[in-house]
Amino acid sequence: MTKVKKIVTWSAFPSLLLFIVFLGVNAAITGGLSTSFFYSFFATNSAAICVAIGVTATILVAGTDISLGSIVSLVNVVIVTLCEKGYTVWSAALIALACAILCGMFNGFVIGVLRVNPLLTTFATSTAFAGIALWILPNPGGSIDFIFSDWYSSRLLGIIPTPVLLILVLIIIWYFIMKMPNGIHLYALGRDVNKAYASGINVTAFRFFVHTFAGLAAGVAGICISANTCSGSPTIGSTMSMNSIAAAVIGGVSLNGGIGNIWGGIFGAAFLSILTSIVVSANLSSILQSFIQGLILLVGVVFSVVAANKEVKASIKKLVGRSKK
Amino acid sequence: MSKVKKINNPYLPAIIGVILLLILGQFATSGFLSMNNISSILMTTSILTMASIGQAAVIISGDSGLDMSIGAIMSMTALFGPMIVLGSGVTSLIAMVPATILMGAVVGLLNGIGVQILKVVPLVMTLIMSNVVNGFSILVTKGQPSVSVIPELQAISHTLIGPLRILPAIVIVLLILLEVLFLRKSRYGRSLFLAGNNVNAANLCGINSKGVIILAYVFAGAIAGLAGLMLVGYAGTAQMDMASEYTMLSVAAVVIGGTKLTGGKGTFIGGALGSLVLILITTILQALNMAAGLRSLIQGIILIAILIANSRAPKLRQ
Repeated sequence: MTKVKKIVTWSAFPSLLLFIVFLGVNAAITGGLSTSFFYSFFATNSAAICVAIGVTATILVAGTDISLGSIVSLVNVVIVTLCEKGYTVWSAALIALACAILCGMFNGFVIGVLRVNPLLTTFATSTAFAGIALWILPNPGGSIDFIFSDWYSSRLLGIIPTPVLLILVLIIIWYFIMKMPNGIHLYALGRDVNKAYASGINVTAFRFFVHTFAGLAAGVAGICISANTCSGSPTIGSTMSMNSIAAAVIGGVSLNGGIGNIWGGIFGAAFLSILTSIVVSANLSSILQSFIQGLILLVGVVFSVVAANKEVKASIKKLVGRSKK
Repeated sequence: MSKVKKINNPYLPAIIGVILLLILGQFATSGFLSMNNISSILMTTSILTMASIGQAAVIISGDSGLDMSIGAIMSMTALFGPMIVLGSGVTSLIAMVPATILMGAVVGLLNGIGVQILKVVPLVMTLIMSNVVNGFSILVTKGQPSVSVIPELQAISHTLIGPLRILPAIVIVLLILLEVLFLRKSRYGRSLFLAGNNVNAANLCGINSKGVIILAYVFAGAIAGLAGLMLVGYAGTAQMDMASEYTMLSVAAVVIGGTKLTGGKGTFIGGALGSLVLILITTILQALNMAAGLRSLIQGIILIAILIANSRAPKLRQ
């Protein structure tokens, strides 16, 4: 029973529930789930999930990052341009990843060391990064060697698809760094900066780190999206930043910091992705699609926020406790 | 002491920025300071100023208040406003103004309810509301904005009143009226500042802080609605999502104008100065004939520089 209690009161639970319910709806509409559905689901949406992981990391320390979409575009553009210049796909991807980490470090430097508001900083840097992307590749186009997409659609040991592997790498890096006592320090910083500082936590270093990690996550997302589309577009990630913040909130991550974990971001992003595929596969007229999507998103966010509310949570706890008796 | 106080004026960075940019503009392109160019700069500034007035009210209301739906509301009323046709051009223009204000206010009310009653964080609530509003715009226009803008509405961008065109003149009057009568002198304005500074104190003073903050969102929506009508009058044609960039620009303008994102402080006039700085940057970069990407990069760098100079948080060690 305690296990049930633990799961129900887990901060990412509402998003997990939403994801499973809408997975069911999707199965009902398209007529059953298949393994190939999951493979294509991850191939298309791993980028959104990676960006959500990055944003969640920054939100946990009471920050935010709206430049990740621009970094995704930048990575995509760099890979395409380098490939056309004759680099191999792998070196192009590595250079692009390094660019993404540098972008993240720059964000981290301005926010951590210079103490500028994260929202405004990342708005300014998102303009700058999107500008670089547009400067390098003014018009969508170009192509990437198909080795890249073959690698992307391959499966490790015949089971684990590459996109899932990339997401797992991010999760493992996050958990490796979040090992005691860093994890507790990070959450303390998210709850109250002044108290965290007074207890000797290196605030600057943590802020620098989370934005660097977010840059890395955006870099991985850029690689995913490039391998999936195999072409370049300077605005490919422009809608991702805002969607990822919505994903994190649906996943029970508090924008005030210190509450939630990266699973919330992952399930939130997965829910948003499945929502898109439902709206598309439900054969609604294209005029209705974005309105319906917006409405469901609104309901989802309100649902998860109300579910995270202490009073509601307490009543759930009571219910579970009662059934135990 | 009083001199030191004057130097700490929150408008100062924005005023210095404006002067520097005007000098720079004159060096970069001849004829930058011509009456014609300045009045066209004021034109675009006045639309951004309107957006920043609404944004400032929400930011002042505190509790990490932020309205990310301003661009979406402006796009919506820019599309819907010109659809109103009532007899002659003048009467439809008169009908458009309250109609667009009402449309914006309804969205603002929904934002306010979401933020204050459902307790969704403002950033996310307004962000998602902007998705809904954009979707609604597509639904109503069926994705094909085939709107013709009546000449009476377009006239706001080229009829002259003295040295100014009609739109900047209206906005300047409106700005001063709102600053003085709404924000500074009115009962509501004072309670807005108090609620933004300290919600608990405001509640103890007998102010209905929830209502006050919800009204700030309604006000922001209403002003954004009117700004959308101005935008379509200026642009002459309506497009889907034409005002999306105004959301973040309005936040930046308010911050450059000396308003802190933490709430409880701020002015509308600061937002207007901030808008002028942002528009000047864009205009100069456009006048230099740069590639779009490079322009956006330089714009971003200048913004970061302004933020570093203007709005660094105090050191944690006190």
